[in-house]
Amino acid sequence: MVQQNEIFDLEFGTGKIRVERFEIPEQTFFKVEFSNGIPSLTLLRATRINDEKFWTSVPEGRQKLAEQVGPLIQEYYLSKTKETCVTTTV
Amino acid sequence: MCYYNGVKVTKSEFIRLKSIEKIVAKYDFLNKPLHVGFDYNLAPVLKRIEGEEDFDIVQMEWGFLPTPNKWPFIKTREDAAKMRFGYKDDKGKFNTPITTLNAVSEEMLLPNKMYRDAALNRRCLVLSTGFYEWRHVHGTNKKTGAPLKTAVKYPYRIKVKDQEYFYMAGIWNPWTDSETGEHVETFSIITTAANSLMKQIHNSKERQPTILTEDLAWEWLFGDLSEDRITEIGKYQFPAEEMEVYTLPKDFREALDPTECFDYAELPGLELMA
Repeated sequence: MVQQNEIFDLEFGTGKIRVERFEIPEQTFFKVEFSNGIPSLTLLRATRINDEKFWTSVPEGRQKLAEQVGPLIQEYYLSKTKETCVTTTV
Repeated sequence: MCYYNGVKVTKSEFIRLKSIEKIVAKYDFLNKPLHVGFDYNLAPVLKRIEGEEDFDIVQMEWGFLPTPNKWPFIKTREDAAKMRFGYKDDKGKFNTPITTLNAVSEEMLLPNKMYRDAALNRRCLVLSTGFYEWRHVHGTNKKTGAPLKTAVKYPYRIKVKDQEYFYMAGIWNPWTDSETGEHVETFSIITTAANSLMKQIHNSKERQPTILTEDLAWEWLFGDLSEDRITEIGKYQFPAEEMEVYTLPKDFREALDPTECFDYAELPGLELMA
């Protein structure tokens, strides 16, 4: 079962990207649409051999773009967490 | 070790990423607004793409159906049902079922075994997040203290510690119904002798599925293996100390969440040390 959970927009360079989050059992992916004509990208968090996390594309071949877009998604979720904390401590 | 997108990752991470790739490509769910069915619970199997160190993640029918021209000559779905569930023949004699859900690692390569060709040529990995077995506990007669003949069965769920999913060794076989032309791929899970923990849980048969480490899973799927090595990997006994077990309600199969734990006050504990 694949479930789409959330759609949000982010700034990317001089344009925008639309991010859609998808879930399958115990996995999360993101599909990204670009406003400037770059083909859509599917990416997710993976683990290096030394246990460090990194962003990568599926299928392979767009690692650089995944490393540019992934941190923006991460920042989006971090800022959401901060907002939640602010709300609950007021 | 492998590389994904030029980054060094473990074999299990490589398999995970490749699995996701297959899902994305096969179901094209990203162009659809909501849900697309991909029921992992049915039987997700990693099947090698011939000649490559790559695989497809496919769904296969659990219950090995042998090639029709070999014993027990299963040519149609009706034959398959008879084999799986047993049947009465013309004289009213009941023919007992032949169960092919599991293949015994110690015997699968013996001459004339229905699994031999698949074990040599069509090995696969069965993805699992956990499996179930029943522990048989014999109570005692309250008056005499003698053990009761009928056992009470307690279901357990068994997982691998700190792993969301794991791989069981499997073998598969293509099968076509000679009347309808229906074509399916069927599989059997390899079993081995139970470890110290599984001996206590699956105490009626003292067997367990052959759960593989990531290196063995890789070798099972991609290796050019001798018969001895196939048997050796098939017999691999996953260690008790890397397993996690808990009891389930007796009607867990009908529960909304069949993995939810349930404690039985009367059930003796397991001996966790080997």
